Amino acid sequence: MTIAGMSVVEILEGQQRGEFTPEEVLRAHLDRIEGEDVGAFLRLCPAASPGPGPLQGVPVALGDEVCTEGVETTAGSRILAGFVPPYQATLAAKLQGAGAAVVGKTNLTEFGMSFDMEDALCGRTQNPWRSGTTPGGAAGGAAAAVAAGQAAAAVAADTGGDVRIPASYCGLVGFTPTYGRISRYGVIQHAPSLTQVGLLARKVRDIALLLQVLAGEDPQDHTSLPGTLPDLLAEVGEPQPLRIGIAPGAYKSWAEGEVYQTLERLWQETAAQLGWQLVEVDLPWLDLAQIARRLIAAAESSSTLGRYDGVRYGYRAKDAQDMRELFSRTRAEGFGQVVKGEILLGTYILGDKDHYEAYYLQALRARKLVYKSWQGLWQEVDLLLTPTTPELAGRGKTPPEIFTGPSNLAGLPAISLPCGLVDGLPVGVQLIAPAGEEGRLLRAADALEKMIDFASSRNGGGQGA
Amino acid sequence: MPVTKEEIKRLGEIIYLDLTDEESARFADLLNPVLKKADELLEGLEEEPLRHISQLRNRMREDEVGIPMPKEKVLANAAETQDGCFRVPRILED
Repeated sequence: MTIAGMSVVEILEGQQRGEFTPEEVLRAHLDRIEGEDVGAFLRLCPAASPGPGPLQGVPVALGDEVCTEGVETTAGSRILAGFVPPYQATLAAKLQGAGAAVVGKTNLTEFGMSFDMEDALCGRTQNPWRSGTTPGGAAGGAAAAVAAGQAAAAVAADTGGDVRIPASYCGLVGFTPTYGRISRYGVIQHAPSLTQVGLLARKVRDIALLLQVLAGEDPQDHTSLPGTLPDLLAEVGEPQPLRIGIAPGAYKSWAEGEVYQTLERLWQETAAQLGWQLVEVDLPWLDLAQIARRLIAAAESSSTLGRYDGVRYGYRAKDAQDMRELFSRTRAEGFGQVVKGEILLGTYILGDKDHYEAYYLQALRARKLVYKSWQGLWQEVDLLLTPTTPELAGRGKTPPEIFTGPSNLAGLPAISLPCGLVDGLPVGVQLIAPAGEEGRLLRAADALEKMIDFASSRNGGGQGA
Repeated sequence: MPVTKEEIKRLGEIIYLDLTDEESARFADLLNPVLKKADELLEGLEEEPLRHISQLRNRMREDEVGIPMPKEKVLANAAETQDGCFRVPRILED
């Protein structure tokens, strides 16, 4: 196997055995970036260099919503063109402190506001599995970079599936921890009550390693979680008998037939071997969760994006005669259509007492209902298993976040891993855990990954269980 | 009641977003299906609203002056500056 395409753990082990140096690892990934243009990166970090630490020499890509001191950061929006952060996101500093080499900033939909990379404003990103097919979004560039062997891992924001959806479409592992587990200081986000920092890699053990480095309370992020995680790498690999929830009725009604059949085959063939007891549950609130998440995200966006006015940073409209013209033209020229639509939706549901009560407040009531439903579910099962996306990449008939968004509403940890191929494109399976149970989630995902034995390479002929 | 392009135009003015008539009509068409679906699904819910899932708590620190970001760094990203300040169009009349 070539270095570009190895997992994080394989890179670290190879270096330990003296098979290659951190500098050779970085060079191999940069060569892959130069050699195969899938439109993953918006810009490279010229100063990328490996250092000592638990991630020594691991090439990592960052979504362009992650502030990097001295490197332009736009969140995929014209309105932040030319913005060079004067500070480093906590997660970027932690990665560098652990010896990782941040190779570049990856493409995303504007402010991560769409799950469809066709909406991205900064160029087209290809799915490395099939040119011309979407890698999914919002973190499509991050997923394409890892899938193409241009980075061993990536970090990006997930507000409803933005990391897990592209992970599913690109044959990768995509993970979101419990809300607040990874600091969001320096992460440009549009819906702060929903956003969890997500990780992309080739293997579950890579995720455990990255999470160990990135987790922790941050005085700069008042929502970050206190406390420390157990040794996740040590825990991964220990088998555990679990009650696994499945909802065949909901999956059949939302997912296309081939996706459902792949999942059904997976749980039928692996559960007994893994010591899992399958428990059939019902998820009648999926569509309720979908519309509630959409409205809450729009409402929060209308507030968080108010700061972009052309005065302190980013794009400014030329020759404005007064402040109103400066603000109005800057925002009209700087924001794309998707963002304008979301801000208008958010303003509509917040800007009038009747609308506020009919939409925003009701969305928050729906959030509580979903939250309570999760609490009830955890009395019956230890983990929930779902398809990650209802469809294969590029089909676009069903909301792609139907299975991923509900965990963001409750801040739950979730992971997607590839479980097979349909028509040559990857299918993802998602596991969701109660808040704070990343260890349980990663142990189960690692065990399932070994059963599936999916070769997470476009050339590896990945096969499902 | 469906959202009209006039309402969208008015919203645009509130949030400082210049919109053409064509854009206003397009965004009205975009919002209406979302609101219709919300009307169908959200009506009648009586749960207590849940605004945030994290356990927010006070973060106390000593009342000491921290290290502020240097002014040059703060101003470095502005499109226009003058005399160590952000420069904007005239606000007050002569």
